[in-house]
Amino acid sequence: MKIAVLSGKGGTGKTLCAVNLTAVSPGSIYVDCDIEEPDGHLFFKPKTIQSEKVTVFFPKINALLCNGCRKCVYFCRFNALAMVHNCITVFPEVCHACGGCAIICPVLAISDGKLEIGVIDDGTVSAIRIISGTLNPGRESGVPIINKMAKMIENTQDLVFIDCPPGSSCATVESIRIADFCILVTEPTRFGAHDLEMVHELIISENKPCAAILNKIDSSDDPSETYCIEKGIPIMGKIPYDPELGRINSEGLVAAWEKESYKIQFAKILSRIIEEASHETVANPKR
Amino acid sequence: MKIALPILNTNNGQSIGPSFGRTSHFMIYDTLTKQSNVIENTAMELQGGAGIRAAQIIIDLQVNVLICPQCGENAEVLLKKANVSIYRNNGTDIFENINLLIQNKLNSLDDIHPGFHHSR
Repeated sequence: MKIAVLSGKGGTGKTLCAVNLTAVSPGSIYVDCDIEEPDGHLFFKPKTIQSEKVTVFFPKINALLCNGCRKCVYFCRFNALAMVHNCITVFPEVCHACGGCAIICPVLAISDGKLEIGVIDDGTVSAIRIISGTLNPGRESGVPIINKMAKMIENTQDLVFIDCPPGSSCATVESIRIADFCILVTEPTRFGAHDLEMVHELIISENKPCAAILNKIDSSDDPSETYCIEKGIPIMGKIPYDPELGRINSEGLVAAWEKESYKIQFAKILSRIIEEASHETVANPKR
Repeated sequence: MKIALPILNTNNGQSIGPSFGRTSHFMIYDTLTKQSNVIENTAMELQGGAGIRAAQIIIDLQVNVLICPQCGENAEVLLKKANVSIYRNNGTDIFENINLLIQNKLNSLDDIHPGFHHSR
């Protein structure tokens, strides 16, 4: 089963939950899809890491073959190519790596220049596999990295936790694509509830079953909980606002490995999630 | 010499517009024939890369000088390759600026902005 952990707003506790749920599931796989700032590896400190570079298509022009027809220039809907003095100029930041220019070129003057956009680290710690994608600074889209990580785990029978990027943009959509179940980590703020709604709408549009973990709970009203109740999102657990948990987490330690009470807390949440998710899979076998 | 200017249609006639890639029209003025010609900027409605496409249009018209208030860095790269000089307008009156350019009284546009490209 593949469980995506997401939140909408950043800082609600996605990584806290994804890391600690993984930590109480030996034999599972943790996939960090928060490619702009992957930080799950800081907690797990995996060993025997294999790194693989991720490249995307980038038009490499053979000026000797180019006949100046400009078909590539007018094909590119992002206008990443232009022609001056019969020479094609490529704008790497504008290119979306679709490869269409190479297909449209009648004289095969465009080949794949393979632009490196990031790296995937694959390591292990305590019988847990840690896959972590990192997008190079300055690159616009990390979707190819996420897709490549998804390919690496699509056929596994192991339990997988996907730590998703914040927000509800393309990177998040791609991160939940292979998930069987989504976990929404919420915080008791209006901002958190607002972004929870955005990401919940995304999950509905992607036709994924979901449940919530309410994080940083205190005595005040929780607009995120209100939203979950209104929308019938099952609540898998409530994590109280806890300075000690915050301290352990801020030191880059896995709370469930540091203290028995946290281990029990996350194991309880996990068993509820597994139960809920298997109900969903039975009710909706197509998923 | 061919001069290009992004133009804006207002109630009081035409003036120099605030944008290069997203301007609706360009005026092309030829100092040899003293003829001016207004062309539509087909790059205006493009989702992305409007500056690049607009620069391509200007370059293909064999323009030598562009007078505009601002220009993005991608457009500038292309214009530079094509040896198009870029000058900053002084006020928004079209023919006043053309005269100022001919009298060598305009400054070159050197603060090129990194673009207003929205994320994907």
